[in-house]
Amino acid sequence: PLLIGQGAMLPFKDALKWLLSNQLEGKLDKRQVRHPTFKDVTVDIRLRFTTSDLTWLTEPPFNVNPNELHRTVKILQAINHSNGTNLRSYLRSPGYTLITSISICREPFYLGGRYCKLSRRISQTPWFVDDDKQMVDTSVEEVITGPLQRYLGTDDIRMHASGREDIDVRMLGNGRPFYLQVTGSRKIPTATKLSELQDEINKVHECVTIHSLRFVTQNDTDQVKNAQDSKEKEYQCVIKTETPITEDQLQQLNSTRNLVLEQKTPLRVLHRRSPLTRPKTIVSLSCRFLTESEIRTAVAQTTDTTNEDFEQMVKDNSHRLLVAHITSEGGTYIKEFVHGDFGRTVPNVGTLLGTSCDILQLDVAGVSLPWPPPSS
Amino acid sequence: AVVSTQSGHYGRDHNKLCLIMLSDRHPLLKKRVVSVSYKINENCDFTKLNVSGKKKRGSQFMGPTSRLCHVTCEDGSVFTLYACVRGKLIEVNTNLMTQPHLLTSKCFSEGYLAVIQPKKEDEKAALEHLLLPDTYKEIREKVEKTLDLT
Repeated sequence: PLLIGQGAMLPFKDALKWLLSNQLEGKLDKRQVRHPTFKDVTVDIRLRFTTSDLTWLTEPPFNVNPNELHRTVKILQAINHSNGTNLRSYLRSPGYTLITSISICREPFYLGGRYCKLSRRISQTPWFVDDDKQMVDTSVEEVITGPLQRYLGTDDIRMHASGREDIDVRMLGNGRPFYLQVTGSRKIPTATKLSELQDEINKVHECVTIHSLRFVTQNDTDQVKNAQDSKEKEYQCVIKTETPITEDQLQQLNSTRNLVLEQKTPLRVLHRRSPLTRPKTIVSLSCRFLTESEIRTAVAQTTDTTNEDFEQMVKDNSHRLLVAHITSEGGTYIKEFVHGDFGRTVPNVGTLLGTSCDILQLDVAGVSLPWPPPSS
Repeated sequence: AVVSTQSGHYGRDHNKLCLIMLSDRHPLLKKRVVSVSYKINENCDFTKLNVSGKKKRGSQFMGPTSRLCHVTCEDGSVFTLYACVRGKLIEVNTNLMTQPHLLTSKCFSEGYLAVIQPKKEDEKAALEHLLLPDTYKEIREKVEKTLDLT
């Protein structure tokens, strides 16, 4: 079908496009369209002609042969030969059905932030065994993406963090850097709205908090993953030794600087990781004994304070419980550094002190990566 | 040998790797170990295992009666130790080559013999025929009483 104007012939498709584009643009929210993540709006229009009454072309002044009504060339010829005729008066509007669909394509945008995890029973990412049984109540990822997914109405939010901590390890201090890749978002939050969303996220679970949530560029996000194995991390842990430790041994331990370990892939993850030996550096170590009151509190957690063995237990444990602050290269398995993993991480605290050691508690005290970058 | 399984965080067996160790009643414990060799024959030396990747390519498939290593004692006696579990041999304890005494002094920790990963399908079956430490003790005690040994 053709639209015929002042002697010019336009393909129908183009004419429709020009007409609609202007109207569509007028209807779109300018702020959304100008946002860097906006890619395009695809409007899919299908006109299906259901009746094609072209019999008027078989009559004068066109005189197209009825057998040739399907031949566009013949119809065009006939129309050209009848120049001067007011074609409009002959045209009949055909029956049609209109099928339209509109899809809006948006580039993913990125949000950066840092999270702290104060619980020893929450994992970083959702944990399912056999694809259906959820092993923990919730995860950091679910806490963060929940409110965001509800507000933004997105297809998908993916969380990427600079490293992980085990379920039973807390993430303290300035928090672990992470970024979110948001695809197909229906809304672009303003800075104020982001701040509100951050507050909402912080109310979801008392043990998971985030801060500094802001927009970051795709380029920025490389920093997060690159830091994983290179940037230093700080830890604090409680170590229990089999035999009591002397002050001298403690001093010796505290003078450790840039100790290189050879760590075989820990047994606890060996079933799903490649067997490798990785050199990792312990930058510094700072230990102290648990104070007597701290020991009392710790022992009290395992037995009744009125128990006659209580005092004996406190005595047995003095000089066997240490609090250690460790700074190490990213990617170091700290638990294995303490207990030695059956001699597969050497040296380890056990070899350094000459006695078997176990790790009772571990926290990540900080991640030294400046993140997120200041917003432009 | 007695097999000990490695458990995950919460005491649930996600891991299912087997750490092969010496039984606490093995005659070796009364001897002084001079050397441990993972070279079974000319073509088979487990220290030359080159295992890589998550799928553990290059690992050696073992059956319960596959030979794992030879242990030589001060008095000249030689013992052969077996895998006991069906699965992929991922790692042998190379520390035993330099510190063979660990086998008897730290048989339940640094003196472990090897790490075997049972095949996924085999996991339950492979471990079913093994006994829990307490059950093993019970049975052991019964047997010893009957035979009047100590």
